[in-house]
Amino acid sequence: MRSVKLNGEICEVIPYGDHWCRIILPKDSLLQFNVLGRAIHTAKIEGLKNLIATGSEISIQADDLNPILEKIELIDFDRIINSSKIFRFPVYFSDHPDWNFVSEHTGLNKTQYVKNLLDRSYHIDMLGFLVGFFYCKQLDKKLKVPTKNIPSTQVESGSIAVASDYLGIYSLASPGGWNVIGKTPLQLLDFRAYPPTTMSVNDQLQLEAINKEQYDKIKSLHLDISAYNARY
Amino acid sequence: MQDIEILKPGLFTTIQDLGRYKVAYYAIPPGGAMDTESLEKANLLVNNLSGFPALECTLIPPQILFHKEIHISLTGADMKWMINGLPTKRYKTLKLQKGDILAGKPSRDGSRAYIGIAGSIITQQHYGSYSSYTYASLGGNYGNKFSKGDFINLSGTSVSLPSIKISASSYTSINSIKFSQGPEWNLLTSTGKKQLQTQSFKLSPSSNRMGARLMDNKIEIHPFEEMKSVPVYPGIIQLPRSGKPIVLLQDGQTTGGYPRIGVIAVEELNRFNQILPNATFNFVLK
Repeated sequence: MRSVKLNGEICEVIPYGDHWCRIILPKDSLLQFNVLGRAIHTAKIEGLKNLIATGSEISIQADDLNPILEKIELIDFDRIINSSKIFRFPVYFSDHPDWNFVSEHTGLNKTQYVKNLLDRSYHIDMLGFLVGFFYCKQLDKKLKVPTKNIPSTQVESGSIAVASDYLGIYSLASPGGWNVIGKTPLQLLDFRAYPPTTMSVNDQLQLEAINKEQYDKIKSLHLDISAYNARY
Repeated sequence: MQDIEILKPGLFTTIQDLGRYKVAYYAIPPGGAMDTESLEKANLLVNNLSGFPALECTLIPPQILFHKEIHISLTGADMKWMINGLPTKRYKTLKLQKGDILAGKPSRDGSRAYIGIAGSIITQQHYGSYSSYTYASLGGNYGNKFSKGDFINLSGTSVSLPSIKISASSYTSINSIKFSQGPEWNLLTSTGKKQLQTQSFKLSPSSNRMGARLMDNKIEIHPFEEMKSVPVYPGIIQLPRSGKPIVLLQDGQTTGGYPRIGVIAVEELNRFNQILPNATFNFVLK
């Protein structure tokens, strides 16, 4: 099969090494590949070994790709596209040293920056490239900050950071080049569960500013985002 | 039930099987043995089913004390294995007694050796795999490489062992790696395409289970705009702006922003992963 119909649009399919193929976003298409990728992933198609979705490509792995592509065409994309959740998402805006660069670059002090940040909600755009890293969009123009020139060797787990158009969430401690502005007390990943996270692409996060005591309290309860939204 | 004791951990010894599927969507890489052919041979020799976990040893072998009678096998790179100080054969079923010590020497043959162990290793499993993925602490040995004093526990041992013959592999002669064109192949200039196929590359000692950096020669690429993040998997050859290729490996990232100039297929990746640091090789277009 050289093409596949996704939500009504014909998309080109190109072999990508052995047992992988790439589905390409058509030129000038308004399809949201990250959301379609979520729909295909959650359809749990038998024989589909892996799926990786980015804004411009969906790559799939299977021993036999053709039957998978046929099944993809049968997915009710609209239903899944419209099934996104809205979560409240607590953030403690700590006095992280990265605030210096953020304030210097935007001309806003921490209070002003946070006030603007809380003005809108953020869509989860993509998971990756590191395990448990969530890309959320989209920052207001006046809140945009470039990545750091010298990445930090260690960013704490639960850190909330900004770079370019994005708000990012580091579920695991890792090196990183984004500017850390706060941290969340929520348990973001559970590797004993499948899926490992209850937050999905296209879900909306409404940030809530919390103080240090609230942060410590929630942290001690080990809540994931669903439990937090049910409880608070 | 402390059946096997790690006296010295070696350079990077982990539990590996054939890796995990259906989780790349969450940016969890497949992981698994860097040389699946050697893993499977190790399993075959101790009468294990395909895909059972084994110990993957990298460059410097561990020193291991056995606390009970166990059948093992040694495959992959030649690490000059010894049992109680006496040289022992690879690619054979070996019966170890309680108190035996397995040790070896740094490899000059290939990068990865496998110790097959008859029966099942009792350890952590995530998403259908025992493979240790150290970055996210997934899989066996709590997702860690082995340290001095760690124990491995076993359940059951195979009773009837096969007397099969498997010929030993050698890796010193790996000097060419086949690849096919990647999605951004045409971003290479015609010189760049030639360079990739005619120049020799050296494997950087900073390579690990996530990726292999290639040194010594640069590949010419047309000027390109910042790329959006795109899907990648083990075996993809990326070309950063430095012009020095990176091969993504078993524990590598699942999306990347560098041009994907080539793809190394699974069987060929097994061979690639045996190339020693600082050894040179050529790429050959399939």
